Amino acid sequence: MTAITKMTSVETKLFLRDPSAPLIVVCLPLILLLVFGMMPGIREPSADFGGKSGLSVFIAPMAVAILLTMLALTIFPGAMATYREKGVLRRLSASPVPPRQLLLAQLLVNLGSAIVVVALILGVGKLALGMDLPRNFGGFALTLVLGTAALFSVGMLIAAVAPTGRAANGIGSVTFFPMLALGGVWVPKEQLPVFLRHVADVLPLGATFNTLRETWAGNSPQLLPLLSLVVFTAVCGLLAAKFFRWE
Amino acid sequence: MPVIEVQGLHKRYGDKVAVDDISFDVERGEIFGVLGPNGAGKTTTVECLEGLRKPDRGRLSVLGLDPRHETAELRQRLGVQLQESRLPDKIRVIEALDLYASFYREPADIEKLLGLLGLAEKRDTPYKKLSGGQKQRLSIALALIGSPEIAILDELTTGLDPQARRDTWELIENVRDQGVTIVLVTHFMEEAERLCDRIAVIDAGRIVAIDTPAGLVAGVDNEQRIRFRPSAPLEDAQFTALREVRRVEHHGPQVVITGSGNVLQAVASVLARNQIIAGDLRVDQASLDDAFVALTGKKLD
Repeated sequence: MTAITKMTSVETKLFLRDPSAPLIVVCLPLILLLVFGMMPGIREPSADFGGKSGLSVFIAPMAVAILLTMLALTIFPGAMATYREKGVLRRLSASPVPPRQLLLAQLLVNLGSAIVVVALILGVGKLALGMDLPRNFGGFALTLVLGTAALFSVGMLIAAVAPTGRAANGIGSVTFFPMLALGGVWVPKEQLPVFLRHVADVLPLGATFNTLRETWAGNSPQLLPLLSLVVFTAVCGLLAAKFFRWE
Repeated sequence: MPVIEVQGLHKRYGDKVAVDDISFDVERGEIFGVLGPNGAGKTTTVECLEGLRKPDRGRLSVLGLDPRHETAELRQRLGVQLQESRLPDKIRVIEALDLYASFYREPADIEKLLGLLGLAEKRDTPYKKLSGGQKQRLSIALALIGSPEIAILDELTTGLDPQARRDTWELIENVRDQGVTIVLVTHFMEEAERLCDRIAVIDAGRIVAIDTPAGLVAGVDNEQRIRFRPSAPLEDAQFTALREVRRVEHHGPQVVITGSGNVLQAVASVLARNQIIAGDLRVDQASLDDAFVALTGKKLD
């Protein structure tokens, strides 16, 4: 087995051994889906949601967006910052395998979890709640890819600068909640004041969430959010690469 | 043929010069000690050898390789134990060894290594649940897992109880006997004296002396220390008049006379002349501690 394969396998085991992370990652989105999905009328087509059900064009995208953001902004940076704090990255620097391989392994584990849970959301939604699957599946997949890239780039920037695991979790949480509000998750963007509607389409969480809403309903993604995701990926990615400390 | 050559190594952090033009060689198969108080520049020096820090100036050669530019090859052949380095809480001993073994071209036999380090029973134990001594031994195992030609060990027995310390010393001697050159960074005098073939004494970023432990001690002028409890008081002048005596001190009822040459006979004559009996008599040769004080003007701890 190559070093990276072995490393990813070890990181997967460590991720699953943590009492809280896998539970939260799997359960929170599914609980959101099920609890909101059983609200009266949410599964019926509604004028509020352009003739589609609230479940498929709002609740399910919300579950997906929250899942991705949780992994990208708190779990992933928390793990990397903790490794730095403990000297794990430094110890790797003294070995033949550079610490960036551990970064890669962590990304793979988190992306793997994202794929599994998105599949669960789609599966449980359809089977338990009769939810519609994303009508514009291609657009949906594209949004997932770009949104994940943008959110994980922000996460990498957090991981680059946070001094400890705790700090990383803190920064992640502090970033998470405003992004939820400004992204049109608590309050759908249609009901936000006009000037905030554009913000909702531009910040990574909002851009991802609102485009997931569009593609789930069968529409094409809008250009502005997609562009914003690409820009965030590039800028945060570059900054992270410049500032990342291995010790 | 030296396996490590250091010439004019210089490293500063801002205003502070951590390593001030240090030069030394390490021969194949020896245990070479780097001894000095905390903050002397020991860890910075070996980190430059390991390629973890960039020196400001100096020529470095480890196994004929430049740590700054031929790092990948060096990492295959150099094992490292870092100060204060921890592993993830939930990784098991065998998993850590297995993972690191996969990094190297010629990994050591894991089972043998577990046995050598007394970790065989703990193979499935998560890192968090290991004792301090076991964690230390695991980090030594990771330094050796790649079958290195040189192992650089930083603070080998810090935080270990005396028994674990002695067990570790025996282990290191075994490792050296198998042909591994060892560079040992330590601030424990006893450790340096016990293990090292040669020691570089470092203080405030400078090398103060390089020699065998015996050589360093001999350089302190073959000093001896005589302690006893005199049966009756005697003036210091009787002793200080002797040319062999360097100084006389009192620790409560105990008299401590430091001197060289035939100081013991000289002191004995004085006592006999005055019909005084020396109770609880002890004669100490100078130790590495004394050598350190003589070389640097301060105590190690």
